Amino acid sequence: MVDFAGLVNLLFGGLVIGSLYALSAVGLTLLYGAASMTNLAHGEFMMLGGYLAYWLFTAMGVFPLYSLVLAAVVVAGIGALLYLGAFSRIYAREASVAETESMTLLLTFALIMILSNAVAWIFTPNYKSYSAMTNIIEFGTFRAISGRLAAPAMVIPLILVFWILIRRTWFGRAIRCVIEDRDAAKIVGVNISRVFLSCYMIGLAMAAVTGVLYSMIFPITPYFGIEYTMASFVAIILGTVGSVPGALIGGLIIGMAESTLVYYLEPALKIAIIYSILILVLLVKPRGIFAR
Amino acid sequence: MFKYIRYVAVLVAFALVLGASFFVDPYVLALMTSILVAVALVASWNIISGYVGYLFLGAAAFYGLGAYVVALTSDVLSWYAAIPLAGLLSFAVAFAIGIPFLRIRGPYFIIATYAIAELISNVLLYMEHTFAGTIGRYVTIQDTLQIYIAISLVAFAAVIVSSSIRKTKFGLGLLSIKGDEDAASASGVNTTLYKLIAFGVTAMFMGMAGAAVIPRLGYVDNTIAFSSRISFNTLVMGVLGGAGSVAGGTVSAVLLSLLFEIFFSSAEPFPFLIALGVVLFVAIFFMPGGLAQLFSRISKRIGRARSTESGASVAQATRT
Amino acid sequence: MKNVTAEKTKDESRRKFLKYGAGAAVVAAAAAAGYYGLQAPQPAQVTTTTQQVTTEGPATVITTAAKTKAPETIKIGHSSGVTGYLSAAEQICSFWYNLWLEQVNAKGGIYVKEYGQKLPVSLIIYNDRGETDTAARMFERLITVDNVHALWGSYGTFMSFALQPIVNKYKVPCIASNAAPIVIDNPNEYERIYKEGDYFRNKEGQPWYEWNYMLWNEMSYYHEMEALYKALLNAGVKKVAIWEIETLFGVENRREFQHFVDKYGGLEIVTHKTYPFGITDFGSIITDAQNKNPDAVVQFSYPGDSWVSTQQMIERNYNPKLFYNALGMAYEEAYRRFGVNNDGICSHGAGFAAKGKTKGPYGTGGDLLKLYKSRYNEVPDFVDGAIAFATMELLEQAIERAGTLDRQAIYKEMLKAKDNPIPTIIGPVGWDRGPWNEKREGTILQSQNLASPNPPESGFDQEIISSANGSVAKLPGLVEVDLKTADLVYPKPSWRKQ
Repeated sequence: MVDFAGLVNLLFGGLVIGSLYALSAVGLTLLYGAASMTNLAHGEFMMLGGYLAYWLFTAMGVFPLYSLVLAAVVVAGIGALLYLGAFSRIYAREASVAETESMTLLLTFALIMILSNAVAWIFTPNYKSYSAMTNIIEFGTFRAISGRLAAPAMVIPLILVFWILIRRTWFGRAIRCVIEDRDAAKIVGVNISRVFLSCYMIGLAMAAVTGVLYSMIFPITPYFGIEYTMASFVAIILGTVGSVPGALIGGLIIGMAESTLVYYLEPALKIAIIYSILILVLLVKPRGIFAR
Repeated sequence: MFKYIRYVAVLVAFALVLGASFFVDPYVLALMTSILVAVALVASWNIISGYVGYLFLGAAAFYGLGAYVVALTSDVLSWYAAIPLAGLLSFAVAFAIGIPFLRIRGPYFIIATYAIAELISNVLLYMEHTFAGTIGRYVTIQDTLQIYIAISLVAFAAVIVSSSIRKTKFGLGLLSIKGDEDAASASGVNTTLYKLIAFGVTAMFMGMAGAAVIPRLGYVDNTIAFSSRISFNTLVMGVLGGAGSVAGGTVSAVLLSLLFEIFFSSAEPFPFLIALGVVLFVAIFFMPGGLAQLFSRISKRIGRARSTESGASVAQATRT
Repeated sequence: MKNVTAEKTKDESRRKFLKYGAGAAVVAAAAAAGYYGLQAPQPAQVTTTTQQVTTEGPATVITTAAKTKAPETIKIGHSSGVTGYLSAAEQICSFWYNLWLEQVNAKGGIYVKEYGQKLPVSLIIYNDRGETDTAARMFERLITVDNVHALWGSYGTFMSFALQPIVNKYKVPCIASNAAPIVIDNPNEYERIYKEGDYFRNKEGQPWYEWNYMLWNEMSYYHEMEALYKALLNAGVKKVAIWEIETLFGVENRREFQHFVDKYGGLEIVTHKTYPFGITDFGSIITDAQNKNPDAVVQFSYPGDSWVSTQQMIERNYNPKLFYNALGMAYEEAYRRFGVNNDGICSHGAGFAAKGKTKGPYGTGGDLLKLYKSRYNEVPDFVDGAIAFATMELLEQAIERAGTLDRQAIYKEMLKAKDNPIPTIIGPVGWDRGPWNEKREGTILQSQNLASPNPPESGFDQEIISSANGSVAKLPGLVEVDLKTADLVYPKPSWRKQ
């Protein structure tokens, strides 16, 4: 039996990891749900964000919270370049959605090779970490390192704000239109390519921000991306592709499962448990929890 | 006359492949062994992913299964018997898994197959660790030449079966599923059974490939047998070769394996890998149909140049 | 109508012929290119100095020198995971073996009596991506294509398992560095070998030196765990928690440790948790430990999870009286992340302690530490990197003692080391009862004095607090020397603000 303090710590741990998955998932659901971009390299953009934060901190003393903004801007820029330079042509070929998805899958696979090896070349494959936000914050008997607190503290408001924007603003509505029915959106007059461009920029920026938060807590290597990509896909499928609250919930579920459920079952089976959840959901509710 | 060229070509290739083993040095033999594994995996991958259209990212699951069949029966069963056993078991497992899994479509299927491979790997490690008290297992080592022959047989069988399926009624049924699954079902094709069999045959060859090569190493554990790069490499080679084209897939498997070997092996591989990534990106971008698309473009151009004018225009009109 | 169909079939056949023909041509061309491309001599690892090779030795060597023409360089081969999930570990080792390469070539190379001169060394290194079949293939390449004179193995025990058959088949001396590939699963068997004066044998009963060419630089984890066991007992620890990573390293270490506890008593294991490689949250494991309240927490870890656990222990203010965290703490990352909180944490001693007195041809561990820092400007890893350097020292001296580059002669020379151990920065090396090194003590390190007013430079804080080589089970044939540089600080200091 676990006492109350232990339980709170367990839940907090799940919340920390879950919020990282959640933000990554929201970015991916935007990319995949709206723009049909099967981004296998999602974790690599996360890794880029992490290394940016590392470099900015160790070489220039930039406090990681500022790096959140910087990383978002830089990676959004990269996303724009990728879209305008290459990916936009794919959509222009009027290929079916399935073909776009498989094309982007392969292109992003090539991106994985480029990005992870470029970073490994520059920084070496060794573990890198930095010591920032290590002061401990106490709430009564509950203690947490501020770096770990930063994760849910940044992610949850960010996602909420994003969700409000996507529901209230005109542009957010355009994005939702495209997610629901691309052809109808075209007919109605939505500028599809501008929506896609923003999806690339926002989605990848979110991955980068996740990476910055991740680097505050864990050591980073150039190759850690792929497992996060897969976990993000699990999260968005759980929560239904294209749904922002779904991605949030999906991410939190996985985080909680990794931290808490695993405690009651068996830590060594962590991967099996998480993927079992995915497979169960896929079989029972193939479109995800929030499917209509 | 040209009709039989295919069979002759395959026989000649097989003879060359086997014959080569006698006069290449051991390193090249080892390399050819690895290339044949890739060929076997991609050829069988084409059945479920190329013909049925369900892109499969779980090759590691069956490859690993086959490897573990050999590892677990190392003491009781001869390796020669273990290989077909691995194939049968993989078929059975694929059939069983397929019943729920093949209801999942599109990119979800990709992720789900990746998930099942990781799941099997994780569970196997847990069982090994908890019940056998070990992380990995020792495998009786077999002679490299015998392994080479074994994998050649598996590879060629996979290539022949996979390309022959296309001509059969079964194959046409599979292609119709890829085109429009609901329509195929409505017109009387038993889509469920067809998909299951296709999946099973794919798994069978993948399992036999794993079983054929694992005795090279003497030791196997779950990260070796179920390594995700097997799944990724197979999918990428298959798509680059052109999903559905066995010839394209085979060439792509050979080519990429060689490229990986030449560039990856260097102690300073990073610039090469980056360059390789760029080349892949460009290749995929301009040739989404893979090598098969490239070949057919080339042959069309040559064909068009050779035909007479009238023949050309009529041929063009009737070309699908 | 008929014409069209005939044309169409002819076109299709032609297309198919061209498709297959082109395909076959491409395959053939690629195969040929690959074959010739791969046969081309690989660029050897760049030797950093261009010092002239000096001829040394007595003048009467004229006849010997005329007998055989010296090769250009001594070729030592290596394959490892430059990319892939072991790349961080290999990265560490590469700094060290490149440092050795610079040092050895700066003095002209290794003196080989057969040619009466010093020959420079070149390292031929391939990337095996952490894949066993690729590693096996790279070794075939090193042995048959590059014709190396000696080898050292890939990082990781499971990799060495795969390489052993190749090395034994071609009978090439190979040092298993950063690996412990042995088929003795049972520590009792290890003890029996010593008690009965036996040798490690294969299934057919042949003693190891007749068929096994892979020699370990490291010793069996038995002795490290023996040292840990002794340290715990001496400190008065009664209750122990075990946290074990689910890899070969974790399993083997824990098995040896448990052997001592089960067989020789004195400790109670109150909880035992296994966790997967890549764990991200120790919350539940720490909670469990807090409930069971052990005196000592023994974590068989890798770099990575070792930091996650430490960080969360600091966060939860969980401070057991003794904390052993196997790998990752004597490491630059640890100093950077945890700073003064490294104080009091014990770790795996297979590397060197800066204060230790063992020395090799390039000095003591402390000397190398200073050299490394001046060269690379960062604190080195004390375990894996140090082992890698010791491997190179080992090979260098074996070749020098053999006086020739013949593989068999080098191997025979290595077998003689049991009577004349080879000194390295992590201790002397010699093999007798089995292919594991038995000339060195198992040691446990502890970081100390980091919070004192004049804290030691990072690296020089590691003290040897326990050493053992067979005294617990009273194993005959082993020499145990006390290598302690300081007493264990028990209980460990509490966590501080960083």
